[in-house]
Amino acid sequence: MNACAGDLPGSLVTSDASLQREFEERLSDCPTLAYRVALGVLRNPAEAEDVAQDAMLRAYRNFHRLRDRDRFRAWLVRTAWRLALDRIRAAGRRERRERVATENCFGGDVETIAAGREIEEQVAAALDQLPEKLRLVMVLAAIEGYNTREVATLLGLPEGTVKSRLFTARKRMAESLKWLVKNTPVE
Amino acid sequence: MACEKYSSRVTDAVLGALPSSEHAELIAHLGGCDACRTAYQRGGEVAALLDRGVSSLVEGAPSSAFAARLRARIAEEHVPLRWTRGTRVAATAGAFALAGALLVAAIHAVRGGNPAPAIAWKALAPAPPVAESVRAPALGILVRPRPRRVVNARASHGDEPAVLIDPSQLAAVKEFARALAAGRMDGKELVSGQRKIETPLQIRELKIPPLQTAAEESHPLAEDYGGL
Repeated sequence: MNACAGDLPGSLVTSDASLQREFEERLSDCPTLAYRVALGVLRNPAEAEDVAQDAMLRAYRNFHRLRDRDRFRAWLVRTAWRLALDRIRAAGRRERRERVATENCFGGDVETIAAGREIEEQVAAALDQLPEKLRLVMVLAAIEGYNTREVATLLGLPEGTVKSRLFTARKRMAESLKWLVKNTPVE
Repeated sequence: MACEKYSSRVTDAVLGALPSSEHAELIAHLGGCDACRTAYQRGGEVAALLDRGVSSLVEGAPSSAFAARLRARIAEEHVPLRWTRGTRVAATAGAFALAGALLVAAIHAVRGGNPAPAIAWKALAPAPPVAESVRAPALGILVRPRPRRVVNARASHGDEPAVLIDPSQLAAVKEFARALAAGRMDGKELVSGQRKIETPLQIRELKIPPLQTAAEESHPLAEDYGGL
């Protein structure tokens, strides 16, 4: 995405060259953020990319209000999240498409990969069961490497609130997933 | 099964939410309790599994065509970056100014170049004859109605200067001039409409002392201006 920043054509209609330059700088990392937020909801790379496109286009139209970097990222996260949820509701379904992957984070051989996919589906299902506020915190924490300060900045919340929501979310998910680890009395 | 006292602490510790003082106490307990130690280990596995699982759900990046596709959409919709507030205000003011200019030009065209709105109704009326003009010697002027076309007043009446009066005020000015000519009005008493102005203007001579200069040295412009 770093190549995008300087590749925008000069024919783009703009009434403010400085705004245009600043928006181009955002293209280095913000599309990936929007994509990953959408992916946390949709679980489908193609749909997530569509949502990220829509979010970035809306950000371009409203960029005069979003020139601050933190504000832009926060706005983009909320917009991508909302667009992804709207897409699910419009489709009228909760099931997710199978994610196409040749390997996952859980192992290498066929049996392990299959087991890993099932675990991934179970994790996704547990994530979907969370209330929206908890789910968003969980997704952003996973994106930001569980840096609660960054997540708090993105959501415009106190860091303590983020920590509390993150703890509650992980506790609920652990309760749903405890059977994956046999005889784990997580209470 | 973990000890009843420490079971909730095991979960909190696994999720990283246990206060440090309680965490130390729990670790000390784990050294002597197999059940709690097993629960702690498995809880840690579950936490790691869900963290790893959620991270895998959101990892990745847009395709290499993402930027090109975004640029194409922006260019296709001709989406301009939103104007700043000042630009929008200026554009609105400019639009109103243009509309006003067009309106004035339209009115000007309708009235055939005569800018005086008061005589628009006179457009079809014949120009008043010269006899309608009234001389006002006291004023040293000749009062006559404003012609439909602006003419050189000096050329039409020789040496006497002419004052162009709007037809809507012509009757009042004529009456005023006649009153002055007939001596019925001495100029000190003014009547505005049907009211009599109680305190007319008092004209008094204003005596201005000569200008005091700092030095009486010659000034390059003194001759031109008769001294400073």
